[in-house]
Amino acid sequence: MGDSLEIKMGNLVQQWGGASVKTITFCVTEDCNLACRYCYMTGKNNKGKMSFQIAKQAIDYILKERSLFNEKGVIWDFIGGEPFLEIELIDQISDYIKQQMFLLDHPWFNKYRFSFSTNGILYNTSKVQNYIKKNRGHISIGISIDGNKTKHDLQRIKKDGTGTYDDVIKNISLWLEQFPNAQTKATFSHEDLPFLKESIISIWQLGIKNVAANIVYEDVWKDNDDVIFERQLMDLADYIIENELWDKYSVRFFDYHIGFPLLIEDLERNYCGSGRMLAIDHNGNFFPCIRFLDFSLNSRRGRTIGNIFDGINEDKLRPFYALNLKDQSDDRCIKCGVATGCGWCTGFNYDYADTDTIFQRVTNICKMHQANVRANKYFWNKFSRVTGMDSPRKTYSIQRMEMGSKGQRYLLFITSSKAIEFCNYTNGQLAEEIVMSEKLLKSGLNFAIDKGYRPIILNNQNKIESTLNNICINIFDNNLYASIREDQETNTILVYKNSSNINKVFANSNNILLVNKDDICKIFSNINILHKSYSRINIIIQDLQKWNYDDVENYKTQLENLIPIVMKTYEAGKPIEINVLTDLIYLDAIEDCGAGETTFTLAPNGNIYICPAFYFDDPNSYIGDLECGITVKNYKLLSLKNTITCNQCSNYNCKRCKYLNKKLTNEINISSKIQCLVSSAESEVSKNLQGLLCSKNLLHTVDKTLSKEYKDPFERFLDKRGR
Amino acid sequence: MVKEKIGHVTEVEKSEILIIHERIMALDELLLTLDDFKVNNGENSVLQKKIVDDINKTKSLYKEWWDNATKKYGWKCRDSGRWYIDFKSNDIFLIYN
Repeated sequence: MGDSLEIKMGNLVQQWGGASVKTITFCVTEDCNLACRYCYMTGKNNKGKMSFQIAKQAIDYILKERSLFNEKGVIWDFIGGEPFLEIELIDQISDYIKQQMFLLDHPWFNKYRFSFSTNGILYNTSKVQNYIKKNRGHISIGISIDGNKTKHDLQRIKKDGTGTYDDVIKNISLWLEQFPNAQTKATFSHEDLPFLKESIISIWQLGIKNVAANIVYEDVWKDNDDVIFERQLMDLADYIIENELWDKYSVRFFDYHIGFPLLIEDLERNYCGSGRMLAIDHNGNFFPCIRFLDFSLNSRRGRTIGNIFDGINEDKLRPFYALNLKDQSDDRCIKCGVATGCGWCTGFNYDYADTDTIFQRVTNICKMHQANVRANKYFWNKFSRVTGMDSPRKTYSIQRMEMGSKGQRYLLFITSSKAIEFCNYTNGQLAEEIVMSEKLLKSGLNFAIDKGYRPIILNNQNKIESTLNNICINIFDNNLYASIREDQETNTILVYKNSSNINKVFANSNNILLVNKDDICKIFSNINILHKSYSRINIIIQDLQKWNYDDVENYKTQLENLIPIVMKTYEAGKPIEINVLTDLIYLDAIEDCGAGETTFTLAPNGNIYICPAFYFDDPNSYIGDLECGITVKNYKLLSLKNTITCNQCSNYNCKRCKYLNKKLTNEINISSKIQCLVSSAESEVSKNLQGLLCSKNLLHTVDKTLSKEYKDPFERFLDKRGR
Repeated sequence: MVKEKIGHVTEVEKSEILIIHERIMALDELLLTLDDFKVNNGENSVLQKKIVDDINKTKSLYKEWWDNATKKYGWKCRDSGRWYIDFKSNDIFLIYN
């Protein structure tokens, strides 16, 4: 099978115009000729109908306000109820829009579409067909069909309770003839889950190749629904694979972007376009989308953002512009390992929230989304096994890692119990050497790619497949590396022991200088060698638990001695980064190591740990394995938010070593005195450095958060408490 | 019917011809509104003239774009053939029997 095969599964037809077009929705009627059971428009009625005058005034306002509506194109969207009940009005509105855009020489005349979501019952009527003919080049129409007859008729019914499958199906061939690339939405609720597989296949067999299937956000899901959902999707996956349908059809449930941890940039986005769209009701009120109209809401009144008489109220729009994932989600969602693709409806959130806010996310679909992700992975893994091709899911996972975002998660591989030490631990505790097998390494890599964790490998000498090689970060002992390589590769970090004499230095960007109590006095001399070849040096203390006050003072002196070196690099226009001195210039929050939250460690025994230190200290302290996954008990204690003292501290350079916390204070979220003293010493020297850089105009401001008042930030905390 | 790929244009060039193409389509469909729209005959004929003038002008731009692109890229042609642009891939095809 050739690699050139186009995989369609999981891809859906993108909205015309992408993000550069405005969607303006006319709710032309609140009436519908059906009474679908799951419909969110619970207030449908036959009174709320838009007049042409209201529509005309809305169009005049929108076309006049070009600075407010400055997108490159526009989708004029018509919705109901059932929009085709008002096809004559829509025709009149469409004509007016076209004429006005032309007469006003509006740029949208060159880029517009008319869009419809319909139940399809009236599709073949002469009025609808004439309208389509008249606007042929500018229309997109979606007809809702939910699956096979049993499933469709369970939900999509007439007012007398009878099903509508036969009434819709008779119009499908005409629709596909006119719009060959059309796709449909298929919505699933509790009762129709058992028909999911057959429903999707049935839609494909009708000739509709793309199904934007989804599940309802409402609180309808019962125990075991996630199991049924997953089983149905896995059966569908088997059917697709057996019949080799991946290059012919698509369903959203197998979208390969689903089920990865969030990156920092994901946190700033909203899932839907409410606020960037505009909906207009029959009274001429403006709404951020159709779901905020009165008749779409159950518990609240409609939430307007203006009207055709007074225009858009920009203050009312502000919350929608500000709305992003992190401000409406709780920690569980933000840190979820399979978060991507898990959606919500802002209008439904508003309707369902404890108070009348849009900043509270409804999570009724949590278990269902997790089931979707499991089935999604099942499908793409099986696809790879059967075809021998890399799945788009794997490729996408690697692409996300290559983006190198701050929100990236990592899986660190300890390839041997005698592997390189690079942080606050030693590897001498275990009597016998345990080496990670090639099989375990491979399984671990599959686990990492599957979950979107970027691999970090200690002293790896095994061959890794080329597609993964670019995203793996290697940490090597510099002596070992020097014996096997001529040049340092981009994704490699070398570890230099401060105690040893540094001989060979590679030219590269990043390394670690591992410092111990007994070699503090060598920091300056070693960095004096390293800084000539490296643009970043990370000083990491290996045995902080053994340090005392004198050691901290000696360490501080060594750091102070480094200031002239750093100054010279700034003066030469090639500033060096030394983590404990220069990171504070840029950090605006504590730089956590992420152990147990975003970084996990796979040991050669096959178990997963919070970090290598936990493995070497006690191999029984594991938090999971490749088969069962990762479960961190009292997970919240790992978060900076729950550190009591650290979250009030401005020593952002602090490593906040969780292993050391546990070892010295018995609690993973409470820092030891020595940790606080060291980070304060680093901060103080950093502040001096920043002051000197400012005095020579090499830096503009000194970090004002640095305080000299307390050597140990815990003291400030105790003072606040009144001791 | 044979569809032979004969070239490719840049994103900027594609955008130019896409706008022209969209405008021609929009003007053609705008003409169809005149019979239905409730304006008096005088206004109607003024509007109709404006649309027809615009169609002629836009079609000239359309021809000019193809002429310039052909000159630039030297695409091959056939007597009974016509060129076709795929707006997704920016590829140019020659269609002939």
